Amino acid sequence: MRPVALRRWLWVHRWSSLVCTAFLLMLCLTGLPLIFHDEIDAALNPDAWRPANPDGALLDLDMILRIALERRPGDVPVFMSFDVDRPVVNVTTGASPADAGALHFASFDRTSGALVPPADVGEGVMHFLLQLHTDMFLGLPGMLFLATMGFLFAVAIVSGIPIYGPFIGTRDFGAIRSANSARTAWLDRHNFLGAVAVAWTLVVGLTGVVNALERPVIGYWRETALADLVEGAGGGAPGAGASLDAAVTAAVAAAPDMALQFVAFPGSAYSTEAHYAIFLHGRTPLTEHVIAPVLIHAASGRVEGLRDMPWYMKALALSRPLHFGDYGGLPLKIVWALLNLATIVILGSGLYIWVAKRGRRVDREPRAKAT
Amino acid sequence: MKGRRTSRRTVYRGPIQVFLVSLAGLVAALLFDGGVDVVAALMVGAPLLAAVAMRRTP
Repeated sequence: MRPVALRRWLWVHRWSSLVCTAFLLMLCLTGLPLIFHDEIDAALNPDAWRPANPDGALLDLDMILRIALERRPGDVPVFMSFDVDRPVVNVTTGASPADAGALHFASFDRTSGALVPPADVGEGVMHFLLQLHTDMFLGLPGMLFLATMGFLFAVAIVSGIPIYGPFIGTRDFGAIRSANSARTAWLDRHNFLGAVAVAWTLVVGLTGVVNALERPVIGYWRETALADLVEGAGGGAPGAGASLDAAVTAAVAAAPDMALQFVAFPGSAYSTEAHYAIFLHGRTPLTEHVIAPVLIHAASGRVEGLRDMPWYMKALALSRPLHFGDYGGLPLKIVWALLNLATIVILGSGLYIWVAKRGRRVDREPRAKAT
Repeated sequence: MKGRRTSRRTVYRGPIQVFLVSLAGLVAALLFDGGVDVVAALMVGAPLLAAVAMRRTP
């Protein structure tokens, strides 16, 4: 590589990483407990709950929705989801379906309609960490800012590749010059860990960027892919006509090779103003992360059919498990955590190398002036 | 010229091998479940295994 090109790559690597380092360290530290969110949740909240009528018939979804809304006068339904291993329906309500900031979540026993006690020990801490990790409590501007930091992190990783070779020279892969200065040894560790962890850091960094763009991506999907349904659909307040239970049954029947995931009510981020969007997911390891909605007119019950998700929504769906590492069981989560720690070392050592180099330069300047 | 090309290939061989194994593990964990999970996790963890192996090699 020509010296000019090397200097340019170095400049890009140095400044792209310096700008994002503090935020990346925050993301690594908050991401560490989030990897084990399920395990921490299960440990703090042992599941002692049992349904009231284990062998009884399940209440229909309209009944559950009515009970949920009676408990929250003035609220409208936003989402409804279903536990996989117990007869529990989770209902999210809010003053407005579009207001993502003030939503209320409650779980109901589908055999009796009774409220399921929330398993919320430690939830406050986890929620705080997730919020800090997602948008730093700044909403969309915070998400976009972190997306920019994630992009700079990706630039730092990519720009590190061409400068790796010239820095390593003829030394063996993984050789650390421990006998030299601390800065040299940490430079070698930085280069080595950075080189071996490229795949993981790049995947987690870029999927983090995609996740941070969630709101604009979903907004674009609503405005484009669902535009034909919005036009002329008319109002469709839930409960105004069609039965929710019948809508869910029709949606599941429309895609028999898929499984029910959640319902987005009219006006929510994942639906139109007039439709129930009943989201289903595939049954294979890959397709279970990819969701697709069956849209049903909330007033008339008319089935609009299954809408295949465009590529960018599929990318968004796949970027979640690839970012959080929760798609391959506990072994993968442990590896995720170790690579997270390795990333902290890479970031910290990069910062140390820069500070040590500046210190050395400052030391040299007075001597140069004296001579 | 030939010497330089060989040298660059040597420098990048190790990182590329780890990169490919790690990337294959990320995809394998996404495509399969069951026992493949553990294998996939080991593949994703190849950088860490490489790091440990390198430090143990005199």
